[in-house]
Amino acid sequence: MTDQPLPPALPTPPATSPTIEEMLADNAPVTQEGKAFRKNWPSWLKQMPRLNFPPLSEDFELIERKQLIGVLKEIKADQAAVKRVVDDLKYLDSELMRLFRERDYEAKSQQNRYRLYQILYMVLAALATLIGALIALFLEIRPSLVPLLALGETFVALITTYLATISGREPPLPLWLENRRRAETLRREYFRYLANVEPYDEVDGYEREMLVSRRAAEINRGFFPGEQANEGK
Amino acid sequence: MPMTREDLEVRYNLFNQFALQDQKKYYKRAMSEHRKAAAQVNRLRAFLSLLTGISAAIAGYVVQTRFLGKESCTAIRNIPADCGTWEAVVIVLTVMAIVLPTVGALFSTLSDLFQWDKMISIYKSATENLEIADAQSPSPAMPDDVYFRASLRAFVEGTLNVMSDETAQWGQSIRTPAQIENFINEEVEKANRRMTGTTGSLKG
Repeated sequence: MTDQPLPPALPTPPATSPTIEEMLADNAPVTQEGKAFRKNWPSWLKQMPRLNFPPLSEDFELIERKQLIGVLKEIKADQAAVKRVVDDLKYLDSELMRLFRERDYEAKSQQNRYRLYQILYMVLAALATLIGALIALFLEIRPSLVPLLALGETFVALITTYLATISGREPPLPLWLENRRRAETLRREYFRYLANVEPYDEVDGYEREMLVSRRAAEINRGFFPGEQANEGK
Repeated sequence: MPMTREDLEVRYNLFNQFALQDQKKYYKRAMSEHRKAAAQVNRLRAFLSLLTGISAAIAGYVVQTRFLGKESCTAIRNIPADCGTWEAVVIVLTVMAIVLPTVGALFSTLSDLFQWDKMISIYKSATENLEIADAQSPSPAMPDDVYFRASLRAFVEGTLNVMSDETAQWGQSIRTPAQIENFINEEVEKANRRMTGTTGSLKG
């Protein structure tokens, strides 16, 4: 490998950007979730669902450009090899990443929806238990409160039925799992293509590009190349 | 046209940094967050249980000392002046002894929903398996290109297999807590029964 300048396809990082060491020492994995999200909250609260789910981030990348430049500089990569990698990344961006972003976002959105419903059910279950216990208590000391508590108990049952009805249409759990599986398979396909391992090591040029486009489209519709059991077959 | 040694070395470095190391970071961070979350929720549950016990014990003590005996609040004559206060104290403590375990049960269901311990076990196993894949990584010092290519392939396939297995295990472990499913069924049945009852009485 030679110490040559990077091709013009890669922009020069700004002077204030972190050093390569800082970038590589950053313990945050690549994710569509913002790094500062609920930063100082207790860990269990950080994982609670959001009421307002943010929109899809169109510029999310599995390999951040700044980090990529850092690594390529660090290894003093060969310019021709870097050019081929950049071409591959551009192609992946147009053919695979848009599908990955959508699947990843949909998985996160359905996960949020699923957890939101489950937590609402948990709160309602706690309320039902509480009201039941209070009815038993006030039956002796304040019987006048019992009809009011019974009304509350009925409302809990009605709200639960309402939630069960609206969550029954397009249930979030299977949608979450299905989209997550497709997103993770697309992520692996991205790195398979980039590392040029089977089946991409057997073809070249436009054939290699067509192969990744076809496989990405198949994964996106729930058909997983190389797996026996495929959903939606 | 097969890729050159320079190509393979660049691709190895990118895969190592952005697939394997990133995945390790993800597992490490997820394990740390899940451990903290599980411990925090466990502490909350324990604290709520402790408060429940204390409330019940104090309520029992107050009832024994203020509501039993000849000169107690339940006596026919010489009722102490502060009986109203003690009655309120007993009611508050009794309500606490009812509310706190309910909140504690809510946190138990939360643990079942997030399954932090199970996730930690899956990520721990995946991290260990990634180390096996990492051990197959090619070395730039390898003089033979064929050997370098084979080593890169074993390294990449090993890493991708670990990622694939982890996703499969994760998918199988996600289940709706049984207590939530039971609660929904019971409440829907209850609501139906009440609506049918109301409609029936109106008709009648």
